[in-house]
Amino acid sequence: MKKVLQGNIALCEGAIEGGLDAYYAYPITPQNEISAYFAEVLPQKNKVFLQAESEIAAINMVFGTAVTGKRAMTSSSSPGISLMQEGISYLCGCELPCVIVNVMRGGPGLGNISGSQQDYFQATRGGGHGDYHTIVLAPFSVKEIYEFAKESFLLAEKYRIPVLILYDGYLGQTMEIFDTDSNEEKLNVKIDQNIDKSWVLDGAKNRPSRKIRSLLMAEGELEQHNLKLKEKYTQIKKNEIRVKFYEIEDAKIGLVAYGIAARAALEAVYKLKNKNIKVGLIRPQTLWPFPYNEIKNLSNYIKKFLVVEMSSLGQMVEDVKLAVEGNAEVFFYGRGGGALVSSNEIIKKVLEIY
Amino acid sequence: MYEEIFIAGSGGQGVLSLGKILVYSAAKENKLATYYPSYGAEVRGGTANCMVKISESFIFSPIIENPTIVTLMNMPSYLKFIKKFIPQKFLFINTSLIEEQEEIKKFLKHYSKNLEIIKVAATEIANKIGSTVVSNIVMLGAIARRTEIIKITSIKETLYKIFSKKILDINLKALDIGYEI
Repeated sequence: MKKVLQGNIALCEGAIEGGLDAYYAYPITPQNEISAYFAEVLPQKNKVFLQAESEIAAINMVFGTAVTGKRAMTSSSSPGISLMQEGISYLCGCELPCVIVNVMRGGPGLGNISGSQQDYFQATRGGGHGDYHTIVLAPFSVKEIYEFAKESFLLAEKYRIPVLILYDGYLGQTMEIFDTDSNEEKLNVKIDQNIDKSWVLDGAKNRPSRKIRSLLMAEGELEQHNLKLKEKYTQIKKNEIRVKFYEIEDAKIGLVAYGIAARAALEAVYKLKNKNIKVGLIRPQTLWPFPYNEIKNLSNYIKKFLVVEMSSLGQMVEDVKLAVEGNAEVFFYGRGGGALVSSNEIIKKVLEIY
Repeated sequence: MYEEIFIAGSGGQGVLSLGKILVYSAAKENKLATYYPSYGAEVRGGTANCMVKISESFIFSPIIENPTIVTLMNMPSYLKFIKKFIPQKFLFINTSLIEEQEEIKKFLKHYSKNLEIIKVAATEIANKIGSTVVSNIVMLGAIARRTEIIKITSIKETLYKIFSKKILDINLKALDIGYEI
């Protein structure tokens, strides 16, 4: 079916298709369309919409719904996601599946309301306290926002883990035409057996009671729990890395970019191809787990990588450096504060290092 | 085809609607399109703008770098955007609200040699047919005719879909008048 949707609305439609039961959030630009849409549509479908009194309340409402085995989601933009970090750490400690959406804006602090990619560290390094990861999905088109949202609950339940969908304000506001029937840009999450729901708190009548908690005080209990989480993260790294390659076969420089920056990078790749300059693009669709091995393998013949981000400091660039293990040079081009990188700027940087 | 279209005016002139109608209509012709609005920090009486790209193949960034078509609906947007978004093919000006400046005319002659400037008294025409709010649709008619990026039949299909019966007729009329300019 052909759809013409804004990124933020595609997220809503994808989440509903994916079986969303309840949505809680506190308003913030540039993602208010999500709340506005759900406020109207979810009650009509007998699903829960609740505007929380704060982001902290919203993430804990997600917690409350997730323990019952229902599919809960919240969304916010950068400063609001910072407020949710304590709750996300608890969700991870308790191994609760849910979906959290960060439509990134410029920072630090309140920053501005333009799009940015400045929350990469926060998203991929945990963000809250303790040893944990969330799966981080980085869509680069309205179609991908739709598809990732649709499959995100399955992914969350498969591993009992929060899934973070991370895109910037530009993509959230962009409207695009796409076809839901095309198989491109899907995650294709594989489920081998029935998803285990034996942990769900749904009333203990006629069965022993269950407990879900992150406070594990007995001797060695928490360490065992940490090791269990570690094993889970190992499985996720094995099964769920998603990455796309473009024009990479004979590339002399490998661009690495995600989200909307990858679209400017892709434009640069094809503009340069016309001038016979061989540049390819590596586009991680999952930021955690990150495609370290895939990039490392490419560093056998690509000796220069240029990481493009909408960040002044550069954040993903550190992961690319970790990936190549000194086997190739890693360069960075980025703009922060809500500025968008353009294909012409990327081309200029490529020509400097080519 | 590959067109980058920049549309600006004041809040309430329907510049965002104009951009969206272009995208919905492009979808009807099995083209691809992106739409990116200015949002959030705009103030009443200030400028609003949107960026539309229409193509037959995948569109990379939705943000415009080299516009082929620029449409300006009021004086503040004319002064604010013309040097930032220099159209390469067509410039549409709402002459009801824009007084062309000699300096800008010279600037355009210098930086866009093959530019065709189309002057449409969109607000006056809209007022004449009964509602100032359809000035955007008058302009849309002119854009469809001169640029041929979208068929008028596709636009009409879109208008039938998005407008209630009450306001459909005046919009269709505005479109036809714009198209005949």
